[in-house]
Amino acid sequence: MINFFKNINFLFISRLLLGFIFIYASIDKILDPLSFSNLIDNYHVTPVFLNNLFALFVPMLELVIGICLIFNLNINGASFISIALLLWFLFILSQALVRGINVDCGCFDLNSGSLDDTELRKNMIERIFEDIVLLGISLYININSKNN
Amino acid sequence: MKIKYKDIIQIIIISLVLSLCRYFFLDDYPLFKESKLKEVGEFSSESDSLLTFINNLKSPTLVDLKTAKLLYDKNFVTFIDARDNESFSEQHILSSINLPYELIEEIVSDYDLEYMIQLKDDFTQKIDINGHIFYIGMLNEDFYLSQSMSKINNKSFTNKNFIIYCSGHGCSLSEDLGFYLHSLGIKKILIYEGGMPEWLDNGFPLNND
Repeated sequence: MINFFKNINFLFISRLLLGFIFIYASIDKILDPLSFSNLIDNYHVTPVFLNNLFALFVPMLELVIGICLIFNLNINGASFISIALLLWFLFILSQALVRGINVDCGCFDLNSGSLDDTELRKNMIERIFEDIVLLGISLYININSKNN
Repeated sequence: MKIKYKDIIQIIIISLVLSLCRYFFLDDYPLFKESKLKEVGEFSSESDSLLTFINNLKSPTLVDLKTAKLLYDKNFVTFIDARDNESFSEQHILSSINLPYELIEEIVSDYDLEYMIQLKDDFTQKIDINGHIFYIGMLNEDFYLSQSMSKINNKSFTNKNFIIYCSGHGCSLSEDLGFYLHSLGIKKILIYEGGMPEWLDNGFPLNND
C-alpha cells in the first residue's frame, strides 16, 4: 500500500490534478480582478485598501504554481506555496462560516448568480472539504517530490 | 515537509512580474483601494441629529444595527431589501420593499426611470415583482419609493430616504444597489451591512410570509 502511494505515477497524476485545478481557479480572477477584489472585501479579513493588490497577485500565484506543478518545475516551492495558500483559504472560509458570513466563495468562478443563504453556506462547506483534500494532495506532493 | 526557499522566491518574483504586467492592461484599477462607503459614528437617540444626518447625506453611507433600528423606530427611512424575490418572500424586515439588485437594470430600462429621474418631473409608476407591488415616483424633485400611493401623495418624509440591506456582511447586493441608485441621482441612501442575519438575531420586527 505504502509502495502504491509512493509510486511515481500517482505522484504525476496528483501534480497534474492539482496543477489544472489551480490554473482553472485562476483564470476568472485574472480576467476580472475587480470582481475578485470585491469578493475579498466580503470576507472582512484583510484591510480593504490591500484587497486590490491581493486580487492582482493571488490569481497570478495560482497560475504560476499550477504551471510549475504540471511541468514539474520548482516543484518543492510550488507545493509549499500551494499548502500555504490552501491553509489561508481554509482559514478565511472557516472564519466566515463561524461568523455567520454567507459569502460567495469566489474560489473558481466569480459569479455564483443569486444563490440564497442556504446555498451559499452549503457551497462554503463543500469548498472547505475540497480544500482539505487539495491540502492533502499538496502535502503528498511536497513530501514525495524529488528535488530538481 | 521540504522547504526550498530559492524555489519559493523564484515563484513569487515571477508572479509579481506577471501581476505587474496584468496591472498595466487594466483600466481604472487603483492598486490601493479606497472604501467607497462612508463609515458612520454613533448617534444619540435625539431625532434632530438623525434628521440632520439624513438631510446631509451626499453618498451611500454605512450604518450599524443601532442606527438602523433607531431610524426604523422613528420611521425616518424606507427599508429596501436588495435580495432576490424568493429570499424576500421567505422573510424580510417588516415594512420593507423588495428591489432585487438582479432586476434593477431591467426595472430602470423597462420604465425609463433614468430619464424620468433626470427630467425631475412628477410621476408615479406601479411596480409588480412576482406579486410584490410598490410604487416608484418623483414628487417635487424628490425620488420616492412606497408601498402605497397615498404615502407618496402625502409627501411622506419616510419614503424619500432609503436604507438598503441584504444577507449580512458577506453580501454585497445592498452596496451594489446603493451605488447604482446613487448613479441615478438618488442621494439619501444608507447601507445597513448587518442585514437580515443581524436583524433576525436581535429579534427585531420581521415579516414571515
